[in-house]
Amino acid sequence: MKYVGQNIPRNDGFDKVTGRGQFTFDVHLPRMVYGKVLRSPYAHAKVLSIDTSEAEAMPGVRAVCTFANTTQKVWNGAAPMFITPLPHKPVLDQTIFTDEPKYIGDEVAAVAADTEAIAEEAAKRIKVEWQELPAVYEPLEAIKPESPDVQPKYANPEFHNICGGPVILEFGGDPTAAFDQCDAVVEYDVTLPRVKQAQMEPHGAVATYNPDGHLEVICTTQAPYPTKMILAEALDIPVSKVTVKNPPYVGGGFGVRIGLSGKAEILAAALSMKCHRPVKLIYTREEDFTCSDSRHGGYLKCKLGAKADGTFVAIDTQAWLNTGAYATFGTDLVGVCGACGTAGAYAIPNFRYTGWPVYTNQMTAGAMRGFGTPQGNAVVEPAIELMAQKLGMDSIELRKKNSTREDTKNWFPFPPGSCGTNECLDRAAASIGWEEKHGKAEEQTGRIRRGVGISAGTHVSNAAPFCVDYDTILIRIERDGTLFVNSSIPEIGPGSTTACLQVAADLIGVPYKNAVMKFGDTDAAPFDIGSHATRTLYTVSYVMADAAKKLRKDIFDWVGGKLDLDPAKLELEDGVLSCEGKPLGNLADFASQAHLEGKQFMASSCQVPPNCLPFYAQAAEVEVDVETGMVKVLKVAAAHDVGKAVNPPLCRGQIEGGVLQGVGYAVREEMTYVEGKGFYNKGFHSYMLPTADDRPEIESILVENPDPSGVFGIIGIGECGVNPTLAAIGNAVEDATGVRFHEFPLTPARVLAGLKAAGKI
Amino acid sequence: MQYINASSAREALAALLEADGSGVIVAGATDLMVDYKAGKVKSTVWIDVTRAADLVGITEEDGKLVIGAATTLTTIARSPLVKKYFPSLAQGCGTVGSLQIRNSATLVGNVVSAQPAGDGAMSLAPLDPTFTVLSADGERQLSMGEMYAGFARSTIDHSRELVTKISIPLPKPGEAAAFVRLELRKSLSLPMLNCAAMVHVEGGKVTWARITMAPVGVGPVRATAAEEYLAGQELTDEVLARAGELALENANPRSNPLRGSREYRLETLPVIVRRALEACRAQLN
Amino acid sequence: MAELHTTINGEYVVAEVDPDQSLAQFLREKMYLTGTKIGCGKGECGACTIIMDGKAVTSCIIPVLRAEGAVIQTIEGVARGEKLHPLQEEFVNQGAVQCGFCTPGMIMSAKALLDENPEPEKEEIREALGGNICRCTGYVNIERAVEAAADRMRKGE
Repeated sequence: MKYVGQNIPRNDGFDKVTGRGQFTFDVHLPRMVYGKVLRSPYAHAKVLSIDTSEAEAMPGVRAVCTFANTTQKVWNGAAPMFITPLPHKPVLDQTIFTDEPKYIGDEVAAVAADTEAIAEEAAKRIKVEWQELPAVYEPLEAIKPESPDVQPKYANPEFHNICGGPVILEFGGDPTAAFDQCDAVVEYDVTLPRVKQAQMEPHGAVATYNPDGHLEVICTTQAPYPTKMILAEALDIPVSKVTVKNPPYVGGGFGVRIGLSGKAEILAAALSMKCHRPVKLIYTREEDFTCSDSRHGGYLKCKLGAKADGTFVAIDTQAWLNTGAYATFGTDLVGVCGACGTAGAYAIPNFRYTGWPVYTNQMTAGAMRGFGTPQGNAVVEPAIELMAQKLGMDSIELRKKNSTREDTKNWFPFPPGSCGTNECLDRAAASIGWEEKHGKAEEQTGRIRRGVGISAGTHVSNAAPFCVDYDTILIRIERDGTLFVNSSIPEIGPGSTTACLQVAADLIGVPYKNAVMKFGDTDAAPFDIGSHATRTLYTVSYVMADAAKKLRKDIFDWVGGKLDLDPAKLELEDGVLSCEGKPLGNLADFASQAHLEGKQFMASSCQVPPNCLPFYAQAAEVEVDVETGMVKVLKVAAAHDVGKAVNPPLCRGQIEGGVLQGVGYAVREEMTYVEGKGFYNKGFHSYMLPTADDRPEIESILVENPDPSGVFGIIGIGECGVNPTLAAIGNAVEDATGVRFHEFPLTPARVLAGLKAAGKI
Repeated sequence: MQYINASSAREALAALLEADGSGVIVAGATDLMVDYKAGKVKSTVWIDVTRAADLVGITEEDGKLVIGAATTLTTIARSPLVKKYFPSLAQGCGTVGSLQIRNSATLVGNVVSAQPAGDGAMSLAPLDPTFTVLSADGERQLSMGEMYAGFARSTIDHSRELVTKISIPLPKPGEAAAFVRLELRKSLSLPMLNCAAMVHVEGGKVTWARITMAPVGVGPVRATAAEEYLAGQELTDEVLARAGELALENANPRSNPLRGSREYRLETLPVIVRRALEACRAQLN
Repeated sequence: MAELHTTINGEYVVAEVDPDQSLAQFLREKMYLTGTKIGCGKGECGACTIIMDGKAVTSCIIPVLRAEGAVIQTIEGVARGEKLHPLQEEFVNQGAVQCGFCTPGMIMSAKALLDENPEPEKEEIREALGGNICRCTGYVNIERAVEAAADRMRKGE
């Protein structure tokens, strides 16, 4: 491996540090007009009448779209629409515009005009007569039979306000009976907030519909192909006539754009189909915060049983998650919460999980980094801590005793892979100073108390076989010896396109500097599901390995034929061909010669990737001001079994970014709903994500146990940093104060109230 | 909109008078631009005073620290003079928004925007500042308390007059001031609570104390009950704790969905007031 | 409309501007300097940070005519031709760049700091970057990049 494992500067670095890199927001096309959306001010209402005449009459207005003049075909704006494997069916419950808005911000109409100001004014001049209808906001309220129906047409007819699901996972054994055989049983329940991805680039799209029937959308999606498919289906355009591409950069994703970006693509497209001009629609930060998918909040409870020696026997978890007004990922995510959040990390023979995706009259919840795993982790890991207390064991020893091993029977339809949990636990514990610091609550009496906590877990390295998840790739050698890769994966920030090329350069045997990639464009390559599920590097490397083998064969066959050598004896390394150690010449020269003879070296591959579990453990140290309830996270030590770090700085960047999102989730971030007004948090000023001067020390620890399924041993890493952070911090706060909290984030007010209720102050 | 870059206070006033009610004095514009984009600003003539030489700068004059109205928060926060005499003011001014905001925004702006808990304004409040206001009628002086007319309303009519400077009496022996902020995040956030205190101690006993706190009413609210109690007392732990409790008598906080309920603010206000007084005591020892 | 005279990245510019616009809009829409990003339009995220008369400011809430007679630097003016500034190089080398949307503003805040203070303490770096939100990196590598660049610049680069 010449390039895998190296600190290679990312290939989009120059573009991004010079300001040349183009984002959707920067796209400017001739004759382009600007879109603005009219959104519902009510959480649930019926539009009795709508009058767009005044808006249409305004000079500069080019199109006005409403539910009345656009298709009412139903769809799902997220990837499940086209990746749900048979016989399951995705929930289709969205339309472009609605005459019965179901949350504050729901789209009723939109305007395209010569300037944003005109569009905004025109949207205001659309006259709507509303009839307000009853609404419900909390999942535990919404499941009561007497609560208002949110989606009467599309909810599960058997269960009130349940979207698709319930998702029941029974992976062997009988927990109910098994609990009776346990020496110790603990229960923990937790209420989790909705939090926002808050990616830096707001949702946006520039859609151009040509009267010849072709639609091109340049946008912020992190899944170009699913977006193309959704647009074609929802707008009744043949899929071959829709192009979706990134421009090529996307200002962060974290799940919020797997499929449509909010609804920017489809709204811009609908407007463009009306006025036959390019329509640019960029969400305001407020729209981004209040009208696009959040992480699922909700209520979870977990019962865990063990033998006196600490062996886990049974676990039973239930989750009621707030999926909001529309499905998007509701059902899928509730499943992952159970599968990856409550199973997988530990061997527990009697397992049950029941997840309820609950419709409410709030903004939709969907994918956000971790995709249900953080929620599951947040209920299971405290239960393990409680179990350790009950059994009088060190909680790290308890985790290590039960962690999934290579030979553990587990329910995933693939082997767990390299199981680094115990090493991660040890290294995170050492970094945080577990031995010296843990268990000191009773000794502390001052205003400031300190404590440490830990959490372990797993996730996946892609979505197969639970989703239709595969990659395709086209690779070729240019006349100058350059490797040119076509893939439709997007580059949303992790450096996927750099790391994938490092892998490709080693697999094929070309210099990294001579490797380029065309990405984020459905016209550039066949299907790829997009950047999600911690998958991009793991799965693209897999399909790359197959394509590389074919490409090398193509080269060796031709060169062997030319030089009368046995192709099986040829080797290609760093752009130089050789035969049994004897150099034959540069690939560039052979490619050049081949060109003159009408031959280009090329290969393609389409593969369903395998899957493996990424294991990790994170420890946190906190300081609690018992007079104000202020929790300060001092340090997070994040140990992750990454298999093989292809590009260590990029790999650490994934962990560190995830960790800090988790810190926000644990102590500050929360979308607070104010009845009648909607979410209070309309921008960065009212949403307390961490800033540069308010962050803990983060130590990322790379554990490298090569995974048998991953190319070069690679395991997915993208989402993992966020997953155990909240639970580790919650455990640390208990270690500092002796109080176990059941509601997050741990805002000063919640902590102070909890300390008081527990009689600690 | 018409935009005028004024080169002096007089020029700014003349432009303001000419605009006859439709003008507004612009310093940092950090709040004004946001409000303008939201359609909340009706003024059509913007008079920028940031390059008016006589409105910028920090000097020591006749036993007073004089801060020009167009001096940015960053300049104040980093000023050796301010740090020497009023470190708590430097701290408060250095807390507003973010560095980029402080590089534009001014302390006077922080006062006349009359937000309930501007950190610059609040750290200034107990220092007994005087504001010089220039209008067609000439100059007049206002105290801190006279600057606030109500929630987000200043007594200054920005379409007719402008603040030219803030004068603060230099501290005397036995005086100390402190500023404490209860915050969810250091940058880009308003405080849950803030408190500034100034005390004078002679012979081990408090002669007077000024305590201001926010957001517990309109502008910086004086904790008069605590102030009265402190006079004549020694700064013992018990006295400071009692003063903190007494601060509640003058506080009427509202609930905020993000920055704390009324209940939480009432619970922590005594702590914050006590900590401000503790910081004063630490300086005096 | 009004006339604006200003210096942008070393070039003297005279332009017709709409006084209602922010400096960020002017830079992006009139000058096509789209490296300056707008992440919120309210001065709450720092993506639009530029350097005006030596100070980092959020250009999305600066009235365009405030730039009259000013000297402005945007991200496009940081490199010398193909030669990147040490900050730009270290942002790439240290893994301080991920999605890249906050990067221009982040670099401008860091540059304003180092221009004024070549030997910043950690706390000063954090203060300078406190108004620039990044959701990707956890800020760890960004801080490291600023330190590395400061080091190199002190050695005369």
